[in-house]
Amino acid sequence: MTTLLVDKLGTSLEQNITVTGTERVHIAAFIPYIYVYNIPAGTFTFQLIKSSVVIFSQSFTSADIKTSVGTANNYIHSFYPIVPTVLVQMLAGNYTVKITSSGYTATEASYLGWIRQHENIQNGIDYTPTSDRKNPLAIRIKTYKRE
Amino acid sequence: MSNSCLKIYNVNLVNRATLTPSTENALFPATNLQDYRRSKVYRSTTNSDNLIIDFQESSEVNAIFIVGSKRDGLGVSTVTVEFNATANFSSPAYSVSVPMTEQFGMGYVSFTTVEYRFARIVMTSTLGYCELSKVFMGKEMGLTKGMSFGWTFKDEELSTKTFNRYGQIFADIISRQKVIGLAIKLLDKDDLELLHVMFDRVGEIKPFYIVIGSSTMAVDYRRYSGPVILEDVPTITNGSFNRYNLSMTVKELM
Repeated sequence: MTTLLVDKLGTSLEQNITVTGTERVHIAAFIPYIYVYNIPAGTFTFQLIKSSVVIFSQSFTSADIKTSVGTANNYIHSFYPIVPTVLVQMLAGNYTVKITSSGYTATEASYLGWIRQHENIQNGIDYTPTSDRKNPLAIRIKTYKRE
Repeated sequence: MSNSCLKIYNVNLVNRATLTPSTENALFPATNLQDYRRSKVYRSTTNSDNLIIDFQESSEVNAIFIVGSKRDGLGVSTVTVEFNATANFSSPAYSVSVPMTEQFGMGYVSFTTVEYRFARIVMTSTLGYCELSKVFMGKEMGLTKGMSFGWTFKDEELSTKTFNRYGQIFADIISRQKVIGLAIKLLDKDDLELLHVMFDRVGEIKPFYIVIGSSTMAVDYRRYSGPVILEDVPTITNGSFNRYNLSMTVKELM
């Protein structure tokens, strides 16, 4: 049995991330680990923020996630790839990834959540979580690799 | 084969133009766009900038290339190019968006010929600056008479490789360089003359731009497109009366 630790989206959820390395990276997809409970209505917007400025945003719905997974089920947990429709590049440094909502109200009957995960093979944590709730909101970032 | 499968662009209006950027990092001036090396880039200082290009006279344009540096790739997210008769771009006469490919580090668009003196490149980025390595604006050479055309493609590894006695590889990783062999047959004298003029202009030194193929013959034909230089000025063979053959090898501009 798997237990998911989910932060229910109210108005917004955000997670600070740090990009390391010395070269410019070209983003193929931002892939947050999303929990969908009964296909909530509304539009959600993924934002990439640098120095308090939104430098990239792209919207999606819970129906988009359902289509992406290819299920008839209305209860989903999935790494949902947000593939930028414009080019996005990142440099080493601190960023914030954020999900906001519009036309959405979280209820016990339906809501969107962002799942917390301990560090994994892709991302490390630069602090020591004192409880599971201190784990980061999970996201993977896929980049184009060119040599 | 129709010559629509090979497009050559060799007169870059940007190289003789006056460039006026909205912002400019002094270490990466806009004049770097006129340098032949892709490592020389223009860099602005914000995420949203523009660059006005004065061709000095009304000039014909039907294609645009946006090229990133070979090492770091593109440094812009979106590029729109506007054209106007004057440098006032509050209401440009023509505007075209340049679709970009991160995978190949370039953008390319062709369109019906327009003729204006001024162009403005409107850029956005997520890097804190906008960066362009090379920009082409100009007109297709226009081989019009039909020809037979074939080509070869190789992505040449420039990294230095050594192997130890266990067969393990040690590499000084650099990059790869596209090498394209073009075999053109059955040219007539008029198209041959166009190529002669181009060879006179670029020699083996100056870059020109090519597009091979179309969306019907490649998943992304931009893989076979972009700035190149001639490896050798080609030998021309008079294969039959009033028909000329030549083969030339071009290398990706680095």
